[in-house]
Amino acid sequence: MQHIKIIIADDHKIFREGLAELLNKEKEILVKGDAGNKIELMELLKMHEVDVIIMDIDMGETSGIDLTANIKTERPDVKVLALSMHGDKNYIVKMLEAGANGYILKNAGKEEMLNAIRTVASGNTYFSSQVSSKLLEDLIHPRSTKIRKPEGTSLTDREIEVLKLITEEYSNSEIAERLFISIRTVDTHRRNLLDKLGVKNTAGLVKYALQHGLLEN
Amino acid sequence: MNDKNQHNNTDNLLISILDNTPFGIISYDHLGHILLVNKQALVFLDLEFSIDELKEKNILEVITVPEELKKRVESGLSRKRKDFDLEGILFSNKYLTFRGRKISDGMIITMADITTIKRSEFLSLNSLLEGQEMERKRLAREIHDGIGPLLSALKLNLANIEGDIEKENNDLKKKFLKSNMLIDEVADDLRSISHNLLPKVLSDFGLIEALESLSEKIQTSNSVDMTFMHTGMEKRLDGVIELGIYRIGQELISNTLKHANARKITMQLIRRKDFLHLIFEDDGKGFDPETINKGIGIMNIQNRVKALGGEVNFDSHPGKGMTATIDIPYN
Repeated sequence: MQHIKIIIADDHKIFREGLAELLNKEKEILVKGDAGNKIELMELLKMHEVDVIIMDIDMGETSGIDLTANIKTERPDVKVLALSMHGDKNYIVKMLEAGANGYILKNAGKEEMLNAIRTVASGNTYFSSQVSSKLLEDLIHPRSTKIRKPEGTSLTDREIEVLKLITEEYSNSEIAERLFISIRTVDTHRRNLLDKLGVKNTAGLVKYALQHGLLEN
Repeated sequence: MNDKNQHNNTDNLLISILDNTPFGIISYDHLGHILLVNKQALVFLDLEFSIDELKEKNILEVITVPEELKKRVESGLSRKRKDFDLEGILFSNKYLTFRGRKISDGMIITMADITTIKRSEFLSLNSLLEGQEMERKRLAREIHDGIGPLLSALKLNLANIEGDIEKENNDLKKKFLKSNMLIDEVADDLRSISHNLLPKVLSDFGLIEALESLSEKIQTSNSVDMTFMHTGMEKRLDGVIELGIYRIGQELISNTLKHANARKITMQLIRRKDFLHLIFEDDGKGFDPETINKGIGIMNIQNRVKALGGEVNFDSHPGKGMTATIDIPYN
């Protein structure tokens, strides 16, 4: 029977040992070695034939993300399964960009861990359910990407309120009174509106409101 | 003869005291005619006139800046003139304190330079915050390097005996799984503590990603609808400022969650030419800005803003939510 040959890269010895012991109990898995940093890992890669590297993305001095990119250029045949404390989508995306074949969280149970290893070893990608729901969420509600547009024309509810009152010819102090805010705050909103809509003055604001049908309801 | 001499002596003494005090002094009558002025006042106000020239002038021609002082001088020329105190006004790189007092036929303004006091306040505030951050960093590292891996190893060890237990009996298996869940809970708590202490996303990906991630977390774990927007923030900022603004955002959010009973939070970060503006709004129960002043949360925010050389303004009205506007100089 063909074993899945594994190297564990993590900066904590106690964790590497625990994981190696767990994995070695499985008949089809063989842990070839474990590494606490880049040098050790590269050394092991030279010495052994390896199918999967289980890679901690935060190894103190060494970034697992950079290391993954490194390995993927030198040894594209080796699969990398990222193992991380961070469920933040920034890390997931970076790790995928670096070429990782899978991403699971450190709190994954035994079954999930084995499942991930088998999936990655057979040439497919694996994400733990928490990770894939994060990625999906971002696809379905791309909040951050929408807001990132440099023209930045998304206005807050309060800004729209202020804009409407401006078009209805209310003065700053009248707006302040109606919305129970200070004149200074009204002024902040007015300045932001000019800025975000890229117009120079009140006339520009009114024009924008007209063009975007803000006056209708 | 003798009497007159003594008079002259006293005058000279007074004049030399006036010219040698570290305070600026300027006095004028109710029409604005200048009665008396010393050299120090000219230095403080950056005036190019000589003392003799000044005595010919009206106070309104002389004091045109700083704005706050000018306003007080103007209102001081009316019949209803009042004493005033202006503390720590920033004017041409100095922090000045002005004290206006009524005299029989006008006002006398004394001024002091408190720049060194302000500087040392600023320094001690900054080192206090820096010390706090270092301590947080140390704790976060200790969790990450110490307890974190121990917990992971503990979980692995349990996983190692999971199979054996299954063979033993079902009751034991239940207890085992319960313990496993408890470990997961501890690990989750620990992760969120460590994240609050030192948000790694901030140093790795920058302020915008960190605030977005924070806002997403609020959105999913509380009954509050939170939106974060930003304009002009394409480039990363200086690390100290990024951390400062992140902490201010954290504090504002926790303040609202704790006290406001809000349904909606909007936070905006806008970069203009020389300033960063953070605008934070909630639709909660609001407060009377006069009475709120000294809560720990508000004080933390004020200190953070002060340490970045910025200004914060809280605007609220009972039942009408609140708006915090924070302006931080940046170039």
